[in-house]
Parts: sequence; C-alpha cells; structure tokens
Amino acid sequence: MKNIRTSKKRNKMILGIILIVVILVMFFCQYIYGGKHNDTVKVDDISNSDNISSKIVEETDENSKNQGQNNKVENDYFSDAVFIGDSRTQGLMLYTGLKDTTFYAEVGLQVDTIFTKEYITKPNGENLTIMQDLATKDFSKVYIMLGVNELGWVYDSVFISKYSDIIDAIRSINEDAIIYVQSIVYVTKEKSESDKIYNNTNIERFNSKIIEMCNKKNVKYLDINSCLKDENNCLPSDASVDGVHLNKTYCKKWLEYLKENI
Amino acid sequence: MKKIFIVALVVIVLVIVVLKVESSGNKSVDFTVNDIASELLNTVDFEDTLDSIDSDMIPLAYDIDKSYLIDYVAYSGTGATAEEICVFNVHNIEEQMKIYDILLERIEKKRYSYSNYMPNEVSKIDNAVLIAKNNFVVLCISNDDLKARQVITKYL
Repeated sequence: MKNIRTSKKRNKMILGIILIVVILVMFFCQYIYGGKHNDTVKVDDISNSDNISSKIVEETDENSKNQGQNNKVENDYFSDAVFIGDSRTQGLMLYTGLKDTTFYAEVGLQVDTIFTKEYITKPNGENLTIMQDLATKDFSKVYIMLGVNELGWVYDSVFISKYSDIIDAIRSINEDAIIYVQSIVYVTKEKSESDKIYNNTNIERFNSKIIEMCNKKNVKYLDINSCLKDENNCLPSDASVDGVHLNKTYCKKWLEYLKENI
Repeated sequence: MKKIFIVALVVIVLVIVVLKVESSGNKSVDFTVNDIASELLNTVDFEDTLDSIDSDMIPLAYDIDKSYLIDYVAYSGTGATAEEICVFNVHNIEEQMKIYDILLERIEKKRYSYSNYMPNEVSKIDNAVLIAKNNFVVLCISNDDLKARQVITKYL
C-alpha cells in the first residue's frame, strides 16, 4: 500500500517536472523566434514636422490618346535603348514602365559628370562612370536629355563642347547606334518668371545651341516641348510641383511623343 | 505511468506545433502593403507629388530580387524632392534583412546625390524612416518623420 502511494507521488512529481520543462522550452522557443520576428532596424529620426501640404495624386492612368500617327511604336521598341539624363529622366524611368530599357538617370547629372562621377557600382564593388559602364552594354539607340542643371554655367560654349564629347564617346563605343538628343524641357511660367537661371529664356538659348550641335553632329533632335508646352510656351502649371520636374501624367505624354518620333 | 506518457506526448505535440508555426515565419497579418502605403500617403505631409511606380519597375528601380517579394508597392516624388514611400513584404527574416541593407544603401546614395543638387533635401534623407519587422520592410522619406514612424509602427 505504501509502495503504491510512493509510486503515485513519484509519478506526480515526474509529471510536474515534465510540465515545468515543457513550459520552459516553450518560453525559450517563444523568446528565440519571437525575438527574430521583432527584429526592428531603424534609421532613427528626430522630427521637425512642418505642416507642408500633402499633394497626393491618385494614379490617373490616362491611356495615351491615339494621335493617329502611323509610325508609333510600342514600349518594346526601347528594349535596346539607353536613356541618359538627370532627375527628369528618372521620372520617365519610374513612371512610364519601360522595364526592359537601360536608364542612366541620376539626380544632378551634367554633361561633364557623365565622364567623371562614379555613379555606377558593379556587383563586384567596382565603381564606374556612366560612360565607362555604357561601354560594357549592348544597345542600338541612345536618348539623351541633359542641360537643365547646366543653365547656370557661364559659358554655353563649354556646355556644348562637353555635350559634343558625349556624342563622340557614344559613337566610339557603338558607331551604329542611333542617337537622339532631346530638348531641355521648359519650366512653368511661374518658375520662369521668378528664377534668374532656371527660366525659359535660358532654356531656349541652350536649346538653340543643342540644335546647332545636332545638325553639326548629324544626330536627331527631339523637341519634347512640342508635346508638353502650353499656350504660353511654358510647362503647364499642373505638370509640376516645383515648376521643373514632371509628374506622372506628363512623363507619360513625354513617352508618347518618343513613341511617335522615331 | 501510462497517463504520464499520454500527457507528456500531448504536451510535446503542442510544443512541436508551436515551434512549427513560429519557425514558418509567415505570421498571418490582416493588412497589406497597400494599407501601409495608403495611410502614409494620406496622413504624412509631403511637399512633392507622390505617384505610384509601375509594379514591374519596382524590383528594377530598387535593385531587388523579385523572388524575395510576396507583395510590394512604391511611390516616388517627381525629382523635385527626395521624398518616397516603399513597402515590401517578404518570406523570411533573411530576405527582410537583405532588403533592409539595399534600402540603407539607397538612402546613402540619395544623400550623396542630393547633397550637391538640393542640400535642403538632405535633412529629410537624414530623417528617413526605415523599419524592418515581421517580414515587412518600409521606407518613408518625408517632411514628417514622426508621423511616418507612428503610422508604420501601428502596423508592424
């Protein structure tokens, strides 16, 4: 009788120990896995929140209006194209869905930094300039839009000289590539009237020099302003928040123009 | 003794089930990447017009392996500012950390680009909110980082 009682007591103790061990294991597991799930990594911030109005544009997918042009191409036309440009070209890249196209679109890119600034980091860690990286690519067409960041340069002759160097460098990489030079896009009327550098008078002046260069170099000039400008020969005010950079709707108009002008 | 083994077996099975659920890494959540992005868009102050990036372009634009991604969404400013929102939902902690590193590098690159081009934007980049948690990675560069953090931590 005593043995049975002792045995029951021992069984209860074993059961108790097993339960405690199991509970401890569960807590441990929860800690390990729960800890992993709660891994939080942050770039810390200290806010000075100004109440600047938020402008959120819902995607207004204005499918391109068919302008009845026979030569209009589709997106795949640009799959062997390379686009070179600054933050405006970045908008074209992000908003128009040219997913098979190579873009060298860098904020602040200029006609000289394309040769000097190492924007490109290769998978092996090597840093290259845009022109160095372009030399490693297969392409048949190149679209260039540069100039808005150079509007403050003292000598437009230096601008054109550097721009010409780009054309020469592309030809030395691929002499058969079709090179399209795009006009500098106008700024809005408000911006133009309020800025001593970034105004449409300067843009016209630079564009006329670009046209001369294109004629001399025998490359195609694309007047992007013809599809974007308003009745005042300015970028429409609804096209841009800062008067310079195009929103999605206008980037799509820009792409439509390119499709119609090959 | 038999009773003890049965109880122990049941408990062990329970432990295995708990472990399985935990290690699967797929916590069921009742929100989507779009829920987070939409709330950021609607409640955080942005100077710029933020437009959605074409979904095919997002992995390319961010240089992210598409196979990591369960779902994703991104909104970019026009270039007038450095502002942007992106939300990625991935399969596991390893992918989460890879995307976190990619976005950290993106912030660094952006800081470098904007420091010469638009120095005023650098403070926004310095205050970028980047949170990786529960298989989500969210980046928000805005003028109101405290609000952005508040929104993101509400979900994650």
